[in-house]
Amino acid sequence: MKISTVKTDKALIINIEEAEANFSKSDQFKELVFQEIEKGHHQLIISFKQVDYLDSSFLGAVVAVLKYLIPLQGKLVLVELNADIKNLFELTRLDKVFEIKKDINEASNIF
Amino acid sequence: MSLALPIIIQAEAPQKPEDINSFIKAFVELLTQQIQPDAKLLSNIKLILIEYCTNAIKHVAEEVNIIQAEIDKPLLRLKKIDKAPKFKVGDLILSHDILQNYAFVELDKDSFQFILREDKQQENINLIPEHFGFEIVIRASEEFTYHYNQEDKTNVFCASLTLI
Repeated sequence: MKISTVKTDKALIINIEEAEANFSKSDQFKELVFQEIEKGHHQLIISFKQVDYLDSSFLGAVVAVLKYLIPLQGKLVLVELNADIKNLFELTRLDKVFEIKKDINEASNIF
Repeated sequence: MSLALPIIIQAEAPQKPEDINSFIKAFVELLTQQIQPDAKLLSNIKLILIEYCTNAIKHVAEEVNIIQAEIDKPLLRLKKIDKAPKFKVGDLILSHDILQNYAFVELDKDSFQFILREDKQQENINLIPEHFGFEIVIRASEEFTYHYNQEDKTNVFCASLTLI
């Protein structure tokens, strides 16, 4: 599971560097993001730019990240979702729970 | 008189997670040679296929796993057929997620239908589920059923969608 991070003055940007965000990577993804949160990064932007598809397990991992952040008064914004991933969030009604923005610029404005 | 017989497209499910993406692309390409779904329907089809592949690899990788599309206009039935032991509701881990979000309606001794309990978003973030597999298929289809075929000892999961 590969991610890359970029620290800005407002948030930590986490880029998922995988085309397939599936169950074989979901636990590792969760752990990697939890590690960043434990380092003190509580304002996160996760970019799905490289991701072709997301399965149910990976979706669960993204939900787990949000649950981990909330008690810490953290914020999580999801960006650069393709049409299928956006549809997945809409179908599961999670688009009402997550902040979803078009790109990093738009996401940065809400911190 | 002409007969419009169903068109069947089927393939063995991928056995490795890294093969899911290419499988979905190839399967959808075959499918769209026969039907022209709009963007929303096509996206729902892909989400169902992804969950079928995930389920095949995670739960029954050692068994025969077939992904099948049956085009029977105006219906499209997406099926996952496997030779694993009969699926029983009692075998599921009845987590908070599953109990809260959907139920199983028995159709006969070998069949049941998955249905959503309530169609509203949970307000408490801590009660939002982290297990979405069945829920995605239920929401992406109009009907999602399970049938155990006694004759050939197969499990058949079937998601039905209406072609526009």
